[in-house]
Amino acid sequence: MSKAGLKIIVCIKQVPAVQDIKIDPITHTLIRESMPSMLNPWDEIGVEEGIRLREKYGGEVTVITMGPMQAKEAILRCLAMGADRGIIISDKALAGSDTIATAYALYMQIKKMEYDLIICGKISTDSETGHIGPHLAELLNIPQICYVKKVDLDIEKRRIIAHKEADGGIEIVEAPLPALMTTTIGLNEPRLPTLKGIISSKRKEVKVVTAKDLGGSLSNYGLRGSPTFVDEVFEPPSRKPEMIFQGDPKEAVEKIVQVLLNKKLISSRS
Amino acid sequence: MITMSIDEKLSLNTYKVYKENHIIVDKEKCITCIDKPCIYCCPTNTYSWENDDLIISFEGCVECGTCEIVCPYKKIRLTYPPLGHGIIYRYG
Amino acid sequence: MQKEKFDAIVVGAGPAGTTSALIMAKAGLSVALLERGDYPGAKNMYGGAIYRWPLELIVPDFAEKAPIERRIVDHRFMILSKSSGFNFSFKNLSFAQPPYNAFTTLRAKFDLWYAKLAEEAGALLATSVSVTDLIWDGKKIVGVRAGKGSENELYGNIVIAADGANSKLAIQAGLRHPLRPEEVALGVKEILELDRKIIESRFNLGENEGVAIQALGVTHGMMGGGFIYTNKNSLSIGLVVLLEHLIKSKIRPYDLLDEFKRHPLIEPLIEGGEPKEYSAHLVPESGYYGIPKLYTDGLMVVGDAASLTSSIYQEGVNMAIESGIYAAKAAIKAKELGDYSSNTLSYYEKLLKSSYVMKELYQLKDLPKIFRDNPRLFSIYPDLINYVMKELFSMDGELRRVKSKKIIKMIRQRVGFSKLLLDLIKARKIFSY
Ligand SMILES: Cc1cc2nc3c(=O)[nH]c(=O)nc-3n(C[C@H](O)[C@H](O)[C@H](O)COP(=O)(O)OP(=O)(O)OC[C@H]3O[C@@H](n4cnc5c(N)ncnc54)[C@H](O)[C@@H]3O)c2cc1C
Ligand SMILES: Cc1cc2nc3c(=O)[nH]c(=O)nc-3n(C[C@H](O)[C@H](O)[C@H](O)COP(=O)(O)OP(=O)(O)OC[C@H]3O[C@@H](n4cnc5c(N)ncnc54)[C@H](O)[C@@H]3O)c2cc1C
Ligand code: SF4
Ligand code: SF4
Repeated sequence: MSKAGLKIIVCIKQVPAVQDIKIDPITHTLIRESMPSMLNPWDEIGVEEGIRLREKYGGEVTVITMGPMQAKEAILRCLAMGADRGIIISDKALAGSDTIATAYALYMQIKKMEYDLIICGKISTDSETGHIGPHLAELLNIPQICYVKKVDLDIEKRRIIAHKEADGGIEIVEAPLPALMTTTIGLNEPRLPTLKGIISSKRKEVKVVTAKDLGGSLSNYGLRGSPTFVDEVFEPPSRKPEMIFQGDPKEAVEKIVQVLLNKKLISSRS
Repeated sequence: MITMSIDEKLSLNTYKVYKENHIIVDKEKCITCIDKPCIYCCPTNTYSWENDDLIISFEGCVECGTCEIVCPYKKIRLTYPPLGHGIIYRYG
Repeated sequence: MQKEKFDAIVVGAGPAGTTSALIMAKAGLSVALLERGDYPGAKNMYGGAIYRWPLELIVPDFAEKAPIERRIVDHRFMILSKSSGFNFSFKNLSFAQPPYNAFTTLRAKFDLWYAKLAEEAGALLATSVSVTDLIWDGKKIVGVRAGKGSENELYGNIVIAADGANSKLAIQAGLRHPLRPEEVALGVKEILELDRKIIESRFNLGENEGVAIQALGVTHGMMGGGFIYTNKNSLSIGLVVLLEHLIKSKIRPYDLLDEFKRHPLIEPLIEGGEPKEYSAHLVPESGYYGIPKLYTDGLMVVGDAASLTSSIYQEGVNMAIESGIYAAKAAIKAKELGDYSSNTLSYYEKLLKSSYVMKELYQLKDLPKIFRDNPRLFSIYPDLINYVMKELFSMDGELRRVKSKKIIKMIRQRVGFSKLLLDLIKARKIFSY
């Protein structure tokens, strides 16, 4: 840990704020422009946790995103909550990145920085792979703890102690810093930015990083660096209830049973 | 399709729905309010009357302010959903 | 830490607030422009058109830069009865040439573009900020609040309330009462997407040319009317009705809109349009007499918040901009003098009084009342005009002389001549300036 206190990096992503997501029929990627967007909810939790740890132990919270320049709004939202500075990795050469290329770009940036703790979200609401956090930890060769519900640091021993969700219960895991953790719902209740926070976010530093700044071979970035091949993307047919049974519950149940019988989905064995 | 139901109209819109209701109604007068103009003047069908109670489905509200003005007893107070929540017009 | 203080806090990044912020920022004032929407325009809706003037005073090359949909060359009026319409149009092709005259634009795009200009000029634009209260120091307004606690306070020498028709700040500042149903109308509107080629052939328009249509006789006698504006590849169709009349009619606004859309003369115009958005917004209708006190110590009210709209011509954006200019000028003067009391801010009213806005509103000052009290204008006259036209144009072997007798009888039945005469006199008053 540097003298200036904890260095926390939170990876964040801007995601569409609406359900009716449109997909480009040719490139099979999301049509992102002109859609209202928001901060991925798991990342909002990540930023909150980063700020809380800074408030407890001192230090600095940096938020990083890779995305179109529009994603700067998501950075500003984090700065308004109280993060100290932001970095946006934005470049045409990065368009079309899959999870591998995204994690790689984040890695190339983060490896140049000082950090004690990296926080990612469990998943993002639009692609929902949950790959980025673990992949990034592997690239950086640091321990990872996923789906964290509760976390504290032991500053003396430079360790992270986390309660993580596991099948059928909670596991308590310890690891040395620097480490990477991913958040889950319930870790905290993110604060709402205040008016002063919003005003000051406009004056905080947001650094723009290009593919060239990242360094390395361009073939590792963007569509070229993305081995994932999307065979087909389709908009799920919006599910409408076929029938709604109203009225007296008992009668309604009888009606449902009758319909199921008629459809031969159940049989009557009297 | 030339005309559509109000629910279909609202489903065209983009909302960032906030968890809390931003329309504050003091329902003390509602039961004796004869015409209940909030119900039929609201352009988004936010209000309805069920089982002697005024139901407020605030999710589709476009924050226009009509209900506040038409309530004869001035019992409605429209606040705005915080942090850019609520209606987000993409055309306007 | 010393309390930060702006020279001016502008609440609302609509045309009025953005104009003020832009001009003050250009003059070197520190300005915070606060907007409750996710982005400027996210909460705003209107019919459809803005005029070149006075926007060109602020952005001389706006015709090239602004997100304009179409340049209006054709203003059409439709006076409708159930199955017929008396329609006329004013088409001026010089409107298709620079400097043009009026433009259709969509608020979600226009307001955002415009507010970015204020930001570039140095104003601090903060979106997603919903101002809840004014902060007072004695009788003086010294800032705004957007929630509880000192973290949600912001201080400024001047607050400009540009928070639109349903202005909460003007009420809090003690400048006006809450709007009454007879002072304000509700507008509802739909965006219908339609291929630009279809729009151009259907409305007989060249590329980038647009039409604005006003329709009377579609509001069941309520004060108000319908409108259609052509955008690049969509139509804006909607209508406006006075709240006082809406309350009495018990017609639901969206049903009224659907009825308008189904009118046999309207339906063919919008056929094939794919609905994209449904919106609603208030518009002040009280005219000159509804203008509140415009300033107090530390605060000025501009645009719709000061009820500066003209119902007959469906204007408002131009007046919002003009009032925004004058408020900014007064703020700049106040900064020079270091005096933010109502004494200095009265300069705003002085400028406004000799402006287009006020002269126009003064001329039309009796209009809102005439409209309100004469449902004839919105139902019987449209019917009557259509009846007259039908009689005059249908060739059924009846002599025109006989027809005119029938017409006179009809008028007598529906309105009565004394009333007609009175309405004509009133109408003359409106148009005789
Ligand atoms: C072939 C292909 C093409 C694609 N094209 C594009 C495109 O053109 N534009 C585009 O935006 N997306 C594109 N995507 C989607 C994009 O690659 C993924 O969204 C991204 O890799 C992250 O995956 P995820 O959303 O599943 O993240 P998850 O792994 O579910 O997210 C977990 C956490 O990782 C972090 N994280 C995720 N994404 C980012 C990021 N971008 N910056 C910082 N932190 C992040 C956050 O902390 C997040 O909470 C494409 C995907 C594929 C497969
Ligand atoms: C149906 C209809 C059709 C119209 N047609 C036309 C037309 O064709 N041409 C024309 O010129 N005019 C038209 N008008 C009038 C025009 O829309 C208005 O006059 C104009 O928008 C006024 O501008 P403004 O800046 O004063 O207010 P607004 O444009 O209403 O802007 C007010 C801003 O303040 C924000 N705000 C409000 N409260 C708060 C708060 N508490 N905190 C932070 N921000 C806040 C709002 O989000 C909004 O952005 C029409 C109006 C309607 C309703
Ligand atoms: S109009 Fe007012 S009093 Fe009447 S039902 Fe609605 S909220 Fe209640
Ligand atoms: S503000 Fe407008 S849309 Fe919202 S509930 Fe009131 S009348 Fe309905």
